[in-house]
Amino acid sequence: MDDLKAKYLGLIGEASDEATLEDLRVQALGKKGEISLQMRELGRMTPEERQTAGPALNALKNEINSALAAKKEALGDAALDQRLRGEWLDVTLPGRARRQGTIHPISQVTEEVTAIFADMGFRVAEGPQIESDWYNFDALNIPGHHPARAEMDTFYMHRAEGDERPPSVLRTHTSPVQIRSMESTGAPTRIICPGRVYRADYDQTHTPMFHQVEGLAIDKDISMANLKWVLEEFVKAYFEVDNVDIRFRASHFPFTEPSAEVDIRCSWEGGTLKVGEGDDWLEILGSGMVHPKVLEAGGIDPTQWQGFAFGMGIDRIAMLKYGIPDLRAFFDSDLRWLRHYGFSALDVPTLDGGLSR
Amino acid sequence: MKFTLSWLKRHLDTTASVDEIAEALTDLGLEVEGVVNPVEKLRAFTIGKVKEAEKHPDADKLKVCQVETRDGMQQIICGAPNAREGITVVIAHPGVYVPGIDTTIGVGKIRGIESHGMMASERELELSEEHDGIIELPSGEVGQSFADWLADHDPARVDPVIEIAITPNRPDALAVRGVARDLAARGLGKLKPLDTPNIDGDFQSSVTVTVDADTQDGCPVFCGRMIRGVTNGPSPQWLQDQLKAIGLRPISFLVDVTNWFTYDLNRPLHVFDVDKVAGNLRVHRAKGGEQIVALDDKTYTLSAGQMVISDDNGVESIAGIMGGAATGCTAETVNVFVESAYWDPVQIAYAGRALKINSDARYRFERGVDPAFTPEGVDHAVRMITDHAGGEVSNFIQAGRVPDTSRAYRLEPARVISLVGMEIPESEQRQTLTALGFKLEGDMVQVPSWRPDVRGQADLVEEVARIASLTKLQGKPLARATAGVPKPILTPMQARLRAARRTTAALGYNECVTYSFIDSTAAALFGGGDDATMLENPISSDSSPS
Repeated sequence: MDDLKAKYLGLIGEASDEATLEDLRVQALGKKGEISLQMRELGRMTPEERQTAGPALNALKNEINSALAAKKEALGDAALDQRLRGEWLDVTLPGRARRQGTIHPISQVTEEVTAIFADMGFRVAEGPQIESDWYNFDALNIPGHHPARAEMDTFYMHRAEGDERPPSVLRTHTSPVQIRSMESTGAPTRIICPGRVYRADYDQTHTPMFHQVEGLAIDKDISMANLKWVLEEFVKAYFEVDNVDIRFRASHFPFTEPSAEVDIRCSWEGGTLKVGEGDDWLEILGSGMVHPKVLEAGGIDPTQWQGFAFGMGIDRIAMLKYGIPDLRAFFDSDLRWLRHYGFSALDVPTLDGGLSR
Repeated sequence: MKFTLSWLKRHLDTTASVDEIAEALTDLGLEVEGVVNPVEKLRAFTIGKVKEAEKHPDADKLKVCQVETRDGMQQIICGAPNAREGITVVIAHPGVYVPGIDTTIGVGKIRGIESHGMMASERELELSEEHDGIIELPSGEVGQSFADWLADHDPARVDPVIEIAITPNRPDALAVRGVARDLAARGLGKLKPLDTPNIDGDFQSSVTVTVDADTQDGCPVFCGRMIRGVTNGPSPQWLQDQLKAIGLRPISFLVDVTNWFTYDLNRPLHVFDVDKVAGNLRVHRAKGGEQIVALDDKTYTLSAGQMVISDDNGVESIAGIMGGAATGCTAETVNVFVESAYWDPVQIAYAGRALKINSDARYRFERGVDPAFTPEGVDHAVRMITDHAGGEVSNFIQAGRVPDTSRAYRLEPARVISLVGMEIPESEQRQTLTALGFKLEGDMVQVPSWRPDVRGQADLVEEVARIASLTKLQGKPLARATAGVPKPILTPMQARLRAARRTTAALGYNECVTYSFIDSTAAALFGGGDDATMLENPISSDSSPS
């Protein structure tokens, strides 16, 4: 029995994993285990022999069990120790980056402009990109032969052979939406009409497709003084400055009378454009009091109602505010450009949080 | 549209500076695109006096001069034959850029002797072609800027050129006089009266003019006079200088006169060489197919309906667009017929576009010249021609009648104030319109014949507002449409689009904006490419919105 004890305690001591311990337990205390077999011999012993062997065997059995349990625990501790040493986690590491998408500057700036004008009660009106000749030109007091019509390089839609109806056009401005809106809602009204417009022109500062946003406000006694105020407030809000140096000067558009153009003070020093300072002026807006003929075309009585309209290029004001140098790149879909000039999805322009970060 | 300050001052009595004039023009709606002030490149040059001039020991043609300058006595070597003691000269100091020789002067050694600067000739300063000698001034203080001396003594040499953009509604501003009128109405000076010529004919013109019945709507009036015995040749220097200053090339006096009035009074004219005209002039519509070699030496084929002027030989002029080479004036021309006509803007526009001719005449006729000025226009030209080139003047020839474009609109001073939002007293409103050539009878305003753009009351408001100046307009807050906190304005669909866009971006996608144009093969793959979305005039072959 002492030999058994020594043997098993030794083996248990040397065991390096739980599987080995299990084997040893089976070997010693399993159904056919050495100590179990000895315990079965107890039945053939005399009562005097059993009185000694019994407690001794039990004690051995307990000692082996204890040794097994202790060793198992020790092995478990060692295993845990090893795991702890090998499997540690640095919680000070930054979170794993997830791919960020972007919003295109056109969409972002459109939302900025919408936020500003929504505060002043302007809704967003939309209209078709393929327009009739009437809505795009005639309704806006631009007659057929007038140089103003020739000055706009218009995309005409295909007509079948022999079809003599006036051709449809890709709208050259979003002004037709103002006519449609007047027809549907009448006066008083305040709307902005952002959208794609088309002109057959392609060079460093012109693309055949670009974006405009026009505005219209008609009521009983809206004046040009109101127009000037609205445009001044818009420019300050959009460029996020407290003071802005703008020039409001007489001009001409067929659809407004009187007409005015708005320039913003800027500097081109060092090749980069800086808005708000400098000796140069950059034209950013066209505007005026809506021409009575245009009101009539929209079904509104010019003797009862008056108001103003204005228009600007969204791509252009985006380039000015965010320092984007080339207009053509807006439509290249180059991922590098999109990632660099795009806006985060969560950067929603709001008046309470700011239009830009 | 370009003009010089001195040209403007022929019509405007003013003491305003170029800068004040430029600022006013932009504010009035005649946007200044640029001002070229030749005096600026001469600012660095100063005046000096030559005290001594000795022959250079090692060069026969050079003189070593001691010159009293802004920087004290300076030694300057000069090769000009007229360099001598006692003359007042123009000096380019070291460091100054000389435009005529495209060089910046430095301190140099010429054949071993130092020279500190240069004494300039007129050509070197780009004042003229004079290069026989250096400039000798009749007066001037040592150290004075040459630019200042010129401004005082010879302002014509440093005449600033102003370029303005003309909007389609202001054909009258295509005349320097029209620009002057606007400035006078703004208060920057007084408009000088136009000296109307009073000409009696001395003989019956051998050339008469008729306008076919079917062409009278396009040419309601055609005026002219014959002048016989003129001496053509180069124009007087002042005329050549003015034309050159605005970028036109002087050709010969008779041609230059027509260019002068085109820009001075927006009155394009044509001069026929009568000795090359067979029979009389007839204004009619082309049958189609006729050819003409025009003054630009190109051959044009006319389409049916386009207005032309013919003689017994055939078509001699594309009406209102360009004269023909065969009957044009040359240096040898002696007998002329001066034409001043009114052509319908729409017909000129269509013909000009179809023939692809972009002439000054077409540009102005299609925007509208003053119909009432047609007869007087002849005589202004005739007077200028005979004053310089001599000749006998015929009777006045006129086919048709000056069209009656008279119209009047009511001035409602209260409405002007309400629309503009600026207090402009009624007296000022009336004064402004009068200064612009409108005639007021009670509250009815007669529109002057040179303003085809004024077609209603709203146009009167614009005139009053722009002259009063929009810079004086004080912004007035636009009241909220409904009091209180603004309500949301997006439609459900607009809100949905916005949400979809930002959700997609948040998921890691980059929004792009692409052209709506696509070639038909690609469009078909997406169910498009039909006739309804096809472009007639795409920019490139792969274009048709999908």
